[in-house]
Amino acid sequence: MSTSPVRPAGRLRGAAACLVVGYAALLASFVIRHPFALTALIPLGSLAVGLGIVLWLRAVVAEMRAKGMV
Amino acid sequence: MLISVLIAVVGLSLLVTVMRSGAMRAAPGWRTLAFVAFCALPVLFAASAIQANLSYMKRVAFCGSCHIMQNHVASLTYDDDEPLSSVHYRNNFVQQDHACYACHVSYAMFGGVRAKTNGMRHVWAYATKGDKAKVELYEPYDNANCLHCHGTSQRFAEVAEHTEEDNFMARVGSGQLSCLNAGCHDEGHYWDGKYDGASDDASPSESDSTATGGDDDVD
Repeated sequence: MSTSPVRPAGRLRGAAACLVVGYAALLASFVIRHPFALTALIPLGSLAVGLGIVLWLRAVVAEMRAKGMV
Repeated sequence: MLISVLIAVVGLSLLVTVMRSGAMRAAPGWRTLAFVAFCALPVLFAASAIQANLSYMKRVAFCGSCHIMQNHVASLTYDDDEPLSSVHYRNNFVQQDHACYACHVSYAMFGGVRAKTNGMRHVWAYATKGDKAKVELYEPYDNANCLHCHGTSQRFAEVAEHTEEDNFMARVGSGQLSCLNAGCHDEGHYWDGKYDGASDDASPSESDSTATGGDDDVD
């Protein structure tokens, strides 16, 4: 399966965006300490960070595939 | 928390640097830098942020940040020897900053996890159900939380009611008999805010000031 050379870069931007959202949500949890907010911000931040890492891994794999390394 | 914020600052800076270093992608060490920016620091930050928040959630201030808990938290400081919460808090029998956590979280392996799950159920119930009069425990209060500290204490053993019955400790240990039974230690909190400061030796002015103080935050 061929992979477009543009896609890894797009995934990388997506990963960076998710990580920024994750950082922002978890940093906000230090400021907004209402129970409702924490119930939302901690899972949201953790999921965003997790998703960012997954997208980054996919970008790395896609780039390696594009270069014929795997 | 400060460490988490520092990690976040470094992580975000590195993320921006890596994203803007298009021409440098062939440079040695770029992959390591990308790994640190996209994986290592985010994982480290998320773990430290969650830990910092979990640690904050052990504090009385956090429990009192739910409106429905404010009477419970206020009852910690009542100058009255009847409610267990007040006796434990005022006499430093539990760490004052973590008083709620000390008595309401099971000391078993996943006690903290269960407490968090129940807390989220409380939040959900508060947000979705109409009856917001009183928070109820989801299961009977676990005697093990009392016995964790009192079980082996001399003061506990010296109470006649604790020793006059042969299988008393077996019944308490198995949960057949609750420490909070009526007539034993049944007053946990003055949760309904009815505290009147009615100790016999308190002057009327002292009683009034204590009673009105019931609505104030502990912290």
